[in-house]
Amino acid sequence: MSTLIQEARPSTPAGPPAKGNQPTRRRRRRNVLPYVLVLPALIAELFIHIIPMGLGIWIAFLSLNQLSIRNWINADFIGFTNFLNGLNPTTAIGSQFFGTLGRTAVYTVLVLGFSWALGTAAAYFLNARFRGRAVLRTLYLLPYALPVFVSAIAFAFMFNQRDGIINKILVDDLHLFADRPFWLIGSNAFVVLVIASIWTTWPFAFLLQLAALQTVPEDVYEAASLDGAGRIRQFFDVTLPMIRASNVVMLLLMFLATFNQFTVPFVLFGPSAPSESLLISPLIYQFSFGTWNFGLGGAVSTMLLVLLFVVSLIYIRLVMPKERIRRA
Amino acid sequence: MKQHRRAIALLATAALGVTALTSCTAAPSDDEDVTITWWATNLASSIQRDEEILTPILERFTEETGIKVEFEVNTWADYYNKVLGAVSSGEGPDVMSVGTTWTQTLADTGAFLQLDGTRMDAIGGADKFVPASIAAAGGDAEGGPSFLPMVNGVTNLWYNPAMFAEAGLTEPPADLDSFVEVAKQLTIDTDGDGSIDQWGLGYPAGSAQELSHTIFAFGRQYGGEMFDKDGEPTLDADGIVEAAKSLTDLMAAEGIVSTADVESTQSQDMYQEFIDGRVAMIWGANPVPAFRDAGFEDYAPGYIPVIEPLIGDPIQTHIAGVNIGVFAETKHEEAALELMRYLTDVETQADFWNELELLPTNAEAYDSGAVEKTEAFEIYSDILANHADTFPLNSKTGQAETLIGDAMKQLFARAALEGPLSEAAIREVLEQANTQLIAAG
Repeated sequence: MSTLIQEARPSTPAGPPAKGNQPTRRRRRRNVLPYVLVLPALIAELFIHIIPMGLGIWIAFLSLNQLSIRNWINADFIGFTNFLNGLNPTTAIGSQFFGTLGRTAVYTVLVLGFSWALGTAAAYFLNARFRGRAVLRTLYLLPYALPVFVSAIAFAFMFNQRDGIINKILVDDLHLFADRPFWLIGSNAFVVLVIASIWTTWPFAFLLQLAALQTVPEDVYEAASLDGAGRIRQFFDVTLPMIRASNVVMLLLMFLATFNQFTVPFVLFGPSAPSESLLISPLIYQFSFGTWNFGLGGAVSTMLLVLLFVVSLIYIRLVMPKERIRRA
Repeated sequence: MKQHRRAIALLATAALGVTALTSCTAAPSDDEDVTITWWATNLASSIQRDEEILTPILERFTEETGIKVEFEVNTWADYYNKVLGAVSSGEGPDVMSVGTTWTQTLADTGAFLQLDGTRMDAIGGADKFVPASIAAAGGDAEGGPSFLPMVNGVTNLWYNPAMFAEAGLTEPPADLDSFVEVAKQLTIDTDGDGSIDQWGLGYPAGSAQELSHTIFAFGRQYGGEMFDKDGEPTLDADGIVEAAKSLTDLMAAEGIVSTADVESTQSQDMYQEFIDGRVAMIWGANPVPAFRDAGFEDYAPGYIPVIEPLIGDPIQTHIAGVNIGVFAETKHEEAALELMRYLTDVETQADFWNELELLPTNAEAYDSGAVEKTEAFEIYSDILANHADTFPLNSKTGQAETLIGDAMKQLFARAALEGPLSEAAIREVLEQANTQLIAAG
């Protein structure tokens, strides 16, 4: 987003152009065309991304609720009050915010970890040549091709307490429980949330790992096996280091998407999730559209933006430069 | 050649820009006949059915007045956010239907025309309405109400007479204790497989909205109100805590409601349970269209029980229904008021009852021969007159509805998992909801 703008900004000429200087004018005229061409995209970008984002940050400083929304430009400016409300752990809102933030972190680690492991393992085994490989590859990508909304509805049906297939198997067929357990309320709801999220996330890891694995040349493995390395050893000492660059980017992308997860919990639990499985994005939704406290919702969104930005920045500083040095 | 290509590229860009601009500024043309727009809400068994019912009613209006109406039937889910979107952008229809519980909040946004003396006269005067109905729509507001009641509804009890007969019972009792006893007799294992498959009462305990309405009514029975006399939030009032205890106990202590009901997120789920014969009684607002669509006939209307001895008021339901208002940004105020008049006239009101079984708000309609006076009509009107009250008219009502509904949902989930809840545990959850309501600003 930002690079687009930087590229599009016309570079200022070094000195004042001499009047009547033909070549300079021609060059300038030629320089204008690309900018004119990207202008529509740039305007669209401005209206679709930049301005709404700016407004989102702006409303975080306003006392904006359903009463003031009609004339929101004149809503009271209240400085950092919304942020302080969200950050004070002694208040109902603050303790909810921090509890949710911690829960979202645990959720992200679990979903990221399992998705990465599953995706990588599947990609590693499907990278070898065998009959039926294409079928399996397609099959594994299926959850990625399905809309998340549809998958989450399917999970809600499966984990339904009375008629769901999970309880049918666990209770009616295997007799593991005497009473039908609830999966969509209470602490089990968190487990279901993690499982459904892994299901929708891991094919992304699988896809990227498969692409990365195909860049690893065969002869490296041949050399490794000549040196006596088995499949497992090869994986840790040859494969992983060689696909590190793509792994680094993939983990960042998955982290950002998972931390912001909204669709899966919203479809599973509706507008008000059980408190045991409330994530940060649904909490923002609750603040903004449950109690119509748009200012508070904006403040929590902004804090989330800053948090993810800082984490991403640290991650990039710690991990990415080494790659560049190594390659140089 | 190069010059040409450049010229074409520039032209194309300019053309794109111009199309983008013109599509934004397509101005309404001034025809002789006025067309106004109306956002209606889903009242029949489906949106399609609503459209079938409203089309002839509005055609008659066009014939009478020459005013055309473009209407859109909205589902209730997320409709409030759509209304708020219109309020914030100033882009909306001329006339809007809104839920009765949103009345005060939306009036306070200032986005709806206040119906002062002149405007009220154009509609037919405040006297044409049932006093309780217009009061529930904010009729006592200074400078005139922002909304008028279009139709009223109540939540009442529905029971399956066949199941009652089988259990040797005649009809549901009026007081809560006897009601629980009867419901226990109806909670049975019909096929003898060791698990209960017919429950005394079906209740959508996962629907925050239904829960907020039920706790309002039962809270009133225990003398608890959601706001005190100064309008300050009291979601944790003693009466509300006791009512929440008594409601969750229906599931956790008395066992007349299935714990599985905590996963039901809408009243329609319970209508289906009732039709399927899995529950003997439900509390519902006008489930008859759903029963008719399913070809189901084993139903009879009754009254939601009241606690005995009564601590507060004998309230069984809030005054539900639909209010209508004129969007302040309208360019067709006269035509919009004309539609408001028409929708609340006796003939149209009779149509609403005959087609949708929603109570008239027009006082004359009650004596009019056009209204089919069924058993349901008598019960609904009795409940509306003697057992219903206005959902609080407070700026924070919208938030209160969400917060107390979510709190009750949480309590029912805990009751399903842990069994009967202590009053202290209930109070803690309601206190938290109350704190959030105060902080909601």
